[in-house]
Amino acid sequence: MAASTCSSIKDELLKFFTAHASVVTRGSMCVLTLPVRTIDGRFVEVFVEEKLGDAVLVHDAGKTAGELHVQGLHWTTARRDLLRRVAERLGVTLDDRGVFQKACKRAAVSEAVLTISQCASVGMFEVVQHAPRIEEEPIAAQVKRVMSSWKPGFLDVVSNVRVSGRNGDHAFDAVAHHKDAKHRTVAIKTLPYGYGAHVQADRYGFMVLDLKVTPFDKWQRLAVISQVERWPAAPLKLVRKLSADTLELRTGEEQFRAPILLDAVQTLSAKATRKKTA
Amino acid sequence: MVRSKDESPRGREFFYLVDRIRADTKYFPVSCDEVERALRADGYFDCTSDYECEDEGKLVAMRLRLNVSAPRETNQFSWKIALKLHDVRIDGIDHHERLPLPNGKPGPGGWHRHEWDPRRKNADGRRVRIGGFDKGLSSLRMFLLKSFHELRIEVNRRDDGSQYLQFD
Repeated sequence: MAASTCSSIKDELLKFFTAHASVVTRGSMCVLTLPVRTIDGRFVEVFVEEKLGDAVLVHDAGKTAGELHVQGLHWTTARRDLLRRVAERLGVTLDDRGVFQKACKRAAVSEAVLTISQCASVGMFEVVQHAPRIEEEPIAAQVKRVMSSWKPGFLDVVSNVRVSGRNGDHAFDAVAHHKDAKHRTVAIKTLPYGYGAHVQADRYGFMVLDLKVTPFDKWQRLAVISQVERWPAAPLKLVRKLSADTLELRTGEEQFRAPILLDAVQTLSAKATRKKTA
Repeated sequence: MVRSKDESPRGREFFYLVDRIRADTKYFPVSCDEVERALRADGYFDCTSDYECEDEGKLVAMRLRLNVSAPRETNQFSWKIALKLHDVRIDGIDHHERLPLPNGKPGPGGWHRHEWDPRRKNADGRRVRIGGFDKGLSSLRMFLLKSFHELRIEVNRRDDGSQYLQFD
């Protein structure tokens, strides 16, 4: 290829870059958008902040990590370590919150901008292998489905029961009301791990305390706990202590057999009779 | 204490209900304060909630996930929110200075909402600009309140402050 052709390609490239790169001022920052597409189809954005003296901080504002997070690739320790290795290879750092950054002198800003843009682009490579994850039926829905299809004769089953405590309202996923003196009412509460064991246990504890000295405190409480292996000992102990019984499901075992739940309810509902006859 | 045994999974894909989910009100068992505290502490927030609706006369349930990220809490252009089904974004709001035009070149950007693309089965690529975010987005809390309103997400009014409790 002729040297003049190569030169004109370079000119075209510079012209394209000039036409499509943009820069805007946002408060104390410059935001540069480069005509470089990420794997997920965005344009790379790089932020430049002036620091003391001749120094500048060039970073991606954590947009790469944030974009991974909202696209289904959660911000885990493993992912952070992987991106940290990418950053190290390219001579920048990745902080604990997922921000690619490089401090440099004003004269070296162009190189830093290109390096950060490279990190932002490379950091998205995992989205190509991301696929939908079809979850199993939620625990609460399973409980309601199983309980509402059960017609034992000595219990009346109602789903989504709200009760009033001394300070607020509380909800049970299902309540099996006794129909005769031989049985007791059983209230089922699911505690999915989704929002953390401590929070779930705390809310459960608050509900139990709030229902004290109300008629609902006499109900036999059955707590259905999901992903039990992820629960720390203390919150699990609290839930066990405040429940008549617990149904504890490990990850991967969350599609429980209906008889297990129904056996637990039946056993709890019959407890009063057993105690009286003992 | 009762332990279960494994049984075959009953997972179903519910992407055909996305339009209804987006239009409906979704409740998440968390307060705005809790979300804000998590973002200030870690930069990321993750929460799931079971959502139920009727489908051909039958009640179906699925797990929705709410993700918010604010790696730089003082830089509003890094804030993002997404609603997910099956770990795929079905709705969301964020900001880009420039957005791709149909010819692939950079066009005007700004705050936008992610629209569901039934062909690709995600809301990652289709974006529609939204008003109300360019001005008056004075704080992370304001971003959360505006986003929850826009995405029809309801949260707890009561702040439990649960993460401050000590169990051990």
